[in-house]
Amino acid sequence: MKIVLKYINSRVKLLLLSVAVLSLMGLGSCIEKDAKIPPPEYSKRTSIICYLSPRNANVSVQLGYTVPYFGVQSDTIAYYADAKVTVSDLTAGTSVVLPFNTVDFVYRVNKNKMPILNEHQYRVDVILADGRSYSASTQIPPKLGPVDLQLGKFSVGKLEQNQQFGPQVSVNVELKSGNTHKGFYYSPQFDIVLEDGNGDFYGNRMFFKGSGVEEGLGSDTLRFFYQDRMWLQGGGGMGGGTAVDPMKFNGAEGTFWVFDKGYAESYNKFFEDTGNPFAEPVLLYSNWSNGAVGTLGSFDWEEMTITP
Amino acid sequence: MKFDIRNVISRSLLILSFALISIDLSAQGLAPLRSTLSGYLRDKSSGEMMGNVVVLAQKSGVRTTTNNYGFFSITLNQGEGQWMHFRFPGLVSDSFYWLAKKDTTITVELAAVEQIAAVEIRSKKTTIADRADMSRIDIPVQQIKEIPALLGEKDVMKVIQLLPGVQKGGEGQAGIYVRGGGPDQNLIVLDEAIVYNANHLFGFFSLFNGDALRSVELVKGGFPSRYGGRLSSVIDLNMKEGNNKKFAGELGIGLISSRAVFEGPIVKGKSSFMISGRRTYLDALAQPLIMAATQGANAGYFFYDFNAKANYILSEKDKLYVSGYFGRDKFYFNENTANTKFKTNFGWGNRTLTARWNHQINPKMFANASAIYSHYDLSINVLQKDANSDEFELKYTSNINDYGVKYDLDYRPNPKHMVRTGFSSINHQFSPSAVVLKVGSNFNLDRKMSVINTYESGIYVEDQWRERKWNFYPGLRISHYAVDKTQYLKPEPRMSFAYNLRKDIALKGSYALMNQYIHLLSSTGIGLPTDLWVPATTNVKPMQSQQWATGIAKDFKKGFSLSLEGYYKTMNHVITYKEGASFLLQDNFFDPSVSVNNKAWESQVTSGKGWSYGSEVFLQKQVGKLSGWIGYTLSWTQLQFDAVNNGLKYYAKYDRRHDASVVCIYRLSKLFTASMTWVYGTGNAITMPQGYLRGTGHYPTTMPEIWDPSNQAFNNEMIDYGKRNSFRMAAYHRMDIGLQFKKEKAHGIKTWELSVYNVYNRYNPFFYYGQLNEAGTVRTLKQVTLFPFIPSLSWTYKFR
Repeated sequence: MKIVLKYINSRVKLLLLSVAVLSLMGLGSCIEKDAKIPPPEYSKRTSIICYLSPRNANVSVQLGYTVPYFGVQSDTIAYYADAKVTVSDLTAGTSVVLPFNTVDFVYRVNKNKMPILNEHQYRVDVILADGRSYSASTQIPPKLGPVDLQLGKFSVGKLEQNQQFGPQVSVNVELKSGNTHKGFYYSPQFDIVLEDGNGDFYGNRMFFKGSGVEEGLGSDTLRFFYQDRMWLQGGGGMGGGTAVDPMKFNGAEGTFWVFDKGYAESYNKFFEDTGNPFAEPVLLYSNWSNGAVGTLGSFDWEEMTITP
Repeated sequence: MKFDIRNVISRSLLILSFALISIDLSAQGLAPLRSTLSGYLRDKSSGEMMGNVVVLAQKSGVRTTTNNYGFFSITLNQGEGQWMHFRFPGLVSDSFYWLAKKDTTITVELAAVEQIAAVEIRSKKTTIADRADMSRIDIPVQQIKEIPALLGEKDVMKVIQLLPGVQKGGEGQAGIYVRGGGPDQNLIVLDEAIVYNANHLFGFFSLFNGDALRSVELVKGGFPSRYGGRLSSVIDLNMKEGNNKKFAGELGIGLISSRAVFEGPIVKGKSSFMISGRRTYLDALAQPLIMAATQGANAGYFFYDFNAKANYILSEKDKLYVSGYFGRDKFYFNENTANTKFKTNFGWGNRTLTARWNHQINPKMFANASAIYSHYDLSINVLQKDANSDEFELKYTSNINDYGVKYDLDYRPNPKHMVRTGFSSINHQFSPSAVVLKVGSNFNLDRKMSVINTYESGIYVEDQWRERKWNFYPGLRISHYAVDKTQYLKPEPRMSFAYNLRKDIALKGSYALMNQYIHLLSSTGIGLPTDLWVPATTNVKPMQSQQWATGIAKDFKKGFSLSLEGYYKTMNHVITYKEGASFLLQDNFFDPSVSVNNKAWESQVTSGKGWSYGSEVFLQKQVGKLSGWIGYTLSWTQLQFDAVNNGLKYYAKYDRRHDASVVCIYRLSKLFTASMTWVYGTGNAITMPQGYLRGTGHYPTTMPEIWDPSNQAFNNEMIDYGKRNSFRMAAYHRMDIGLQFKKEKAHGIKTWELSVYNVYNRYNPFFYYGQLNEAGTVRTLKQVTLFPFIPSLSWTYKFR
């Protein structure tokens, strides 16, 4: 009897051990294999990218299509060369058909044939060889003046020393514009320059809140705030010396941009797409009719120097 | 809107009092003299009070049910003599004859019946056609213990996922989606305390230890007005009170955790206690392997939880209860080398404490006052020290504290009405994040967001009104919420009705308006501990839903019941992260020169609308050798946000066209039970890349000429995801089986349970990704599966 019980007992132990091993194996196994379902269906979407500006030497429209994410990969540029692309100045009542440029794979004319003028309304029409057509419109933003962006309040703190990161200083600068228009979007792109007690200069890119783009306010004053802790590059400034107090704001140089809604939204999408795997995917922007993706945007800019 | 909250509350109370007096006076004025039979119903073996027991006067058909504290009150015409019956699945008491001469108070004890015998008793007495409410399901705790579970860990939330109208998020996850609502839209209350994160191990297990629970109720529509604060469901869990007659307990040993529960009298017949706890030991089991794999590092994960409850009978009319929960999850990784010491841990946990005082004011009136505390926190700690004593230290914490009071009054003026009224008020204290960062001796950053204080209150009245073939369940809740200088005052009408076509068939309908003043910011939608609870504010409005439901309920012979329900739900002001946004709360967060803004998350979210509609079939058999249910849901859920999917409507991730479940428990004998579950669900809707857009990008810069598109200088490659959630994962299905062998011993019952999760080894997708071949020429769709065929074994000893 004892032998039988011992036998059963050993079998039970074996069973328990097997279950435990199987269970832990199952729990610990994360199985990666080919999916049994087909990948997301690729739909060939027409893409049209066009940015109009008085600053551009040409009027260009890039016309192509999306390529599959899954399956055979290709690095070739996907474009349509046989479409009819027309740009019309609705304000002036003129239009031009853009020829396909076989070097750059875009539809292009020199701006002499279709001047892009501030505050004019433009429409771009695209007709593919198979008859599908797309269109979008934009108004070129008003021209900016050299004093359209001015310095508001500013302050520079005292030098602080950090063993690992070197000297740093807190900087607050307000830029303001009293001449902005609703429906257009403004963005200062500037480099700031600080000067230390030895007369050496220290520069930094100015990053404003979010993407740094704000819609115009019309009669009210649009303000941009730069608040940062500038690291002074291990103590070596542009002049090569070690920063010493007092630090002062010497000025800022750059461009003040203005664009239409299409440009602003497209840029914001680009800005939002940080590649963060925990963030919701950013979908492609489109302001074209009939399901094409891409942007018809317009912009202008003015170089400026801001001094205290 | 300008208003005086005191004025509103005082007016509400006045209306409430008037309504109660009217009901009472009308009853007294129209009816003959009456007597009231009141008292408590207890479980005979443990002495615990029993809720939801039907009390029936046989001759007149007058009936009532006990409240959560076992109290009942039934009023009959004076001089009438009637047999009184008490009904509850699995329990029975002697019926007795009561002659209604004067008000009488009694305590009735219900004893468990043998399973086989219970077939007859319960099949005659369980009816859903008789209930006025709809979309409400009581889940017997015993059934939870008999249903097979992953690794043998019995889980109430996983069982709730098997019910129609309730969907699970993904493989193994405990998060639930009720009638198109997100996981944050479920009010989960444990002994009246809100539980914010009901998950252990990222949702693979829920934090409710089945051994400590007495009752579980799910409400997914037709909400009684005593509930408020969430849009989609209420999961009301009550802990055991503890056996006040004798010491008892249960020990359980499973593959990844062990658990124990003890209960017994403190002063016999007067007070009792229950204490339970469990802890996983994966960290201890896996330690040698981890140390070998990481060359001496110490890493692991564990969770533990404790439930405790005590009660004291002050007098025949007064009782005190104190209960609490404490649980925590922790990941850790420690490594010491000759030059570096590295230590990190990541933990989260809940704490709740509830104190309650029951008072029977008179034979018709019962009151309960509660003081409630609830806490949830998340913490991340990283410490690194090298031989030069250079130190890096990061501490991140986020927490919520709730302090609440609640008062509920049950009033049963006459056989036709069962009135409930009361109020509640909670102070929510949100600390979205606090960071301490030390780098060496010179960089010391202490970034603490100030606490956001909000106040959420509600006052309600509801009546279960029985009128011949009609059952009405009207109610009104007025909710109030204050944050900063903003106040929201919102009426929430509720209504349910049932009309009995026959004794065993009822047509039902319901309407409920709900408001929710708290949001869960989740970038993954699966309920991770890093998801952030944030309050409604001046800019981010409270969520609101309206739900209409209609259905039919039918009782059959042999304990079968069938309900068919259809619902339509709208949701307003639901929020989600904008595309590309995540829980990085604020630009320049680590810059001490920038002030900390505790509402920075507002700019990361967008608010929108949701729609959910569908129908549910629920065929249930609660009694007999074979019990269980078959559930099927056909549903659609859509969302729309201005800043997502280009403003177009899209299907929610958890939109599920078909969702089915089969649960069978077969009791072969008193000592052997076999069980099986099978689930099927349409795959989740997710966003996957479909194509690439290669073109010339453009963005503003200090040097515009470089980026002129005509120069082709900036070639951009963007992924085309198509529309939001336009890809369906493969359908999910799985079968689990369980076998329980019991053996009676001198001092208790020993149970061995063998269960198999995913018995036919279905590879259900957890997530998908694209993978290029080695040459980089072809990309294929890959799938990751978490749980294949997993057997498990557990042992339980219940002593008595």
